[in-house]
Amino acid sequence: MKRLIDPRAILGIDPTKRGLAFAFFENGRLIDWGIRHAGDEIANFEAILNLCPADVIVLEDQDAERSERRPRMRSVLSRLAHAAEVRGLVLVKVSRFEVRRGWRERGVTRKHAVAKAIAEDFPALEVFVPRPRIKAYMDEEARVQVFDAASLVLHAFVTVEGDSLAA
Amino acid sequence: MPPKLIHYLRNERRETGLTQADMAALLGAPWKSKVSRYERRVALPPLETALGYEAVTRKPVSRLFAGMYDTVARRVRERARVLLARSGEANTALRARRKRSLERILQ
Repeated sequence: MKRLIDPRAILGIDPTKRGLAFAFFENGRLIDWGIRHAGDEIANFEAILNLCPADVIVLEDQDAERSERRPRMRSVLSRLAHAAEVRGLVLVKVSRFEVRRGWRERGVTRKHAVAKAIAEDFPALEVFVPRPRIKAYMDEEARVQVFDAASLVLHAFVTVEGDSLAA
Repeated sequence: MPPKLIHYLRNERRETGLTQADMAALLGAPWKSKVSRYERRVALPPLETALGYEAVTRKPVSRLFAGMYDTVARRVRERARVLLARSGEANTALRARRKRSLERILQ
């Protein structure tokens, strides 16, 4: 079981075609996670912030080297970054390539393995680990995105061993 | 760092693996939407329901409602400080005990 060293309220957001996936940490603990479906991304972002009042927003850096995001997602990411800045929140941008490289250094390369590794550190997510994608034509499960959002935060902030009890 | 959320009902329920419908059944709420409203902080649960949460999660209400407890405790400490400043000399046993109680609240 792990926790973040940074006690601030940190919200990792990963926009997908299905909506906004998020993972919220407070006092180092994973507090909330999920996906907001449908509607405008900014409206979803506001709804998530109402549920999870964060001090820090972690987003993917769409302009980072080797970013594979398509134009629409790039635009969504920049709109989210702008919305966070307008609200006066601290914005942390993370390169997806760097996140993947970080996992690769730990010997974890596939999304399912990343989800399993995150669930080992944060057992509350254990039941949400998606099934492995065994056929190329199978679409990945929606809940994978929650782990993508969490891995953005885990890449940007240092974790230590510790309980997950309320502070 | 003080907690940002007034309560952690959603988080605690999810850690137990219970659904909102389960929680509604356990708390005696007619619909799971009631639980949803509590979790989204649209409504605050009454004392009986809050104690029900404590019975389900086995965690004290002050911890389930950590943010709210923090605010309330801070206000109580401020009032205790005012009371202590107002109180005169503790020249009787009862007044001395009262002063000790106020000082303990301030700690």
